[in-house]
Amino acid sequence: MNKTIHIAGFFLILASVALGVGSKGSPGVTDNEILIGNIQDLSGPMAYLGGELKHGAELYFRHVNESGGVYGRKIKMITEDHQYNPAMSLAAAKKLLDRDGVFCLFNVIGTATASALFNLVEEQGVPFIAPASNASSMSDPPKKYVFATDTPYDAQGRILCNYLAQRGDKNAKIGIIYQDDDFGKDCMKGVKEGAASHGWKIVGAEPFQRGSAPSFGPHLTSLRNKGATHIFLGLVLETVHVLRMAEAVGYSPQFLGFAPSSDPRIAQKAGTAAEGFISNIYMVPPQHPEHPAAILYRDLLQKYDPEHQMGFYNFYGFAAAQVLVEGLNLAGPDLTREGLVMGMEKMKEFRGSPHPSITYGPGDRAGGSKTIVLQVKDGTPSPVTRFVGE
Amino acid sequence: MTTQIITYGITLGCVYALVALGLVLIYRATEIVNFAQGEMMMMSAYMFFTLYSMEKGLFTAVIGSLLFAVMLGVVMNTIISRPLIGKPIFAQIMATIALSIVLRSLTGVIWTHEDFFMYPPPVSMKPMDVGFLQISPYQIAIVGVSIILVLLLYLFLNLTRFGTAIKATSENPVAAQLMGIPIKRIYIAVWILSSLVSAVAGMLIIPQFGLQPMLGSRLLLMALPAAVLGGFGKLEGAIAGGLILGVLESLATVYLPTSIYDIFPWIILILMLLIRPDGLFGTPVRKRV
Repeated sequence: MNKTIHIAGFFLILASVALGVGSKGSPGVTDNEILIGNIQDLSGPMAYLGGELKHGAELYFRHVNESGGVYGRKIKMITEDHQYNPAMSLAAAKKLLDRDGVFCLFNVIGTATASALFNLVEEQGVPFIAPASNASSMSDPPKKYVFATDTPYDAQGRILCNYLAQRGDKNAKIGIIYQDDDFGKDCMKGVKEGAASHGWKIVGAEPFQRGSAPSFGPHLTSLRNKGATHIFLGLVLETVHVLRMAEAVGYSPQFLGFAPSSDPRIAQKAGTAAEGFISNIYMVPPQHPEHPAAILYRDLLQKYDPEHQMGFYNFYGFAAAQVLVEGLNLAGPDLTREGLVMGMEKMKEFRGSPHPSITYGPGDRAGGSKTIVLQVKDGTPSPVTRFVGE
Repeated sequence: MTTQIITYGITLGCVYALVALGLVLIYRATEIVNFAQGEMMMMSAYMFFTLYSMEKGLFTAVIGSLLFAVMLGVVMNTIISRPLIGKPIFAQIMATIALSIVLRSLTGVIWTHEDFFMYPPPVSMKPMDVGFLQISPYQIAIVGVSIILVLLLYLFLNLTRFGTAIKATSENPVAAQLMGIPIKRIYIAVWILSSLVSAVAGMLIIPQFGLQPMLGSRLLLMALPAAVLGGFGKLEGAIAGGLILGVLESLATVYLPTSIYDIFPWIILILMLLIRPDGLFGTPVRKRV
């Protein structure tokens, strides 16, 4: 008898849980909360950036929550650590979806670590908003549930080459030092296409293995001997090592980098070696005097965490959060995963975030397509163009 | 160009060699493969950096870092070596791997995971023409300090009574104890020596690599094959192995196609294990059935 009651009770609980979830439409969504999953590198080689992204996104969510949330629902973000390791990224995503029951995935950092989740999100029908990578593979080919925000690395390479041509650099001999993974290869692809369109020669491309000892003497010696006049760096943090090494050995070609190396802290760490370093970014910098997103970011930082240093990656997390919240708004009050996908697809020429403007549609999952070119002057990366396309 | 790339390889190899030397010193005496060696190196380097950036002078920073390394050696002996000697090899490996994770996280907690530190080296990195070579004072310093350190270690192990006792303990701990050698003290000494050698390696390399909590495991990844290449357990083997891998890695970056350059050191290692399983300097062990 007792046993029957237990079993009946168990099924009653099971049924009510199932009904409770079912009536709200999607996991992670209740009447007053939306649970979202975030995976960063908090203790690996990119921890330098991961914590900043998380902090920036939380800054904007806090603002949204204190202004009443999205249709009355507060946004709650759970963050896991993947240490820039694709296998750990996949494990973290499964944990977030199966155990925490998050509604969607948001702003997972790194190309390889974000790509590792593509199959999972397509299988389970989970929206994956704003992967923190500029790889062209985020949106090309388009994947139903993955919405990229940034101008891809290959486009950045072509834009930078165009900039060099416009400012009058002739007969450039291009060298490349690139991280030996999807990110670095995407950068290299763009530089090769850009150089070819101006008739410039690639004199050498030296790989750097992600996670190995950052020793760049051989790379620079080789490129110097091949007469490189311009060197593109498809690197993140190690940009600092290359710039400092080049300065130390007295070699001064024009160095250029991609969006990850436009963080003011890269220039700061490299010191005098960074003077003249050219990079580009796919959103306005956090110090922009007029852009509403930049002003809001600075105000909120001042309000909630005045101790925290303003930075590009902090602002990046903030911007990604703005795109997600806009998508949630467009998805309407009856929030489901399919509803968020449809909401994101309704986004046209969205200018509320610091990106050039964000447009999605059926079959269109790329965010921006323009960048601002920056050059380091007196230790700070300063804009030398407005948003330019290819 | 090739000679200059080889020079870079030799300086990198010196650092690999010193970390490998630290590994081998411990392994010879205690038969523990210390996966936390990289982290020990890194923590001493952080200590050096902290003192150096407080502008107490280079000398104070070096001494402070070495003292810290001595302390670290004693702690490691107490929590790792003493309870694990003679235990199954699996337990030893798990314990040192776990310790490496703990030390890395601890470094992150103390000095932050999010930032990394760089400062200009005390000597110039600008290459000068020395004969047919192009070499910088910084590279000369790395090679010079490494040579002096290895010489000192050699003299200590071969010419002092204590050194002989260490060698005897490595050969046969039971017999050594029966002969009245205080092997517990020997073990402490070995951990301290190993920690000191690693600390020097750390101080030499940070001007070039910068300081990050991940630095230790990055270097261990090359020091471990270097030690195996030289025949795990041989000091001269660790040095040769480190130099060979450093030079090959530098050459491979420039001369080998991308697809194989990053596995190149491992190809060499596998070939070595196939041809001479006991390493360059190892003596073949034959077991009688």
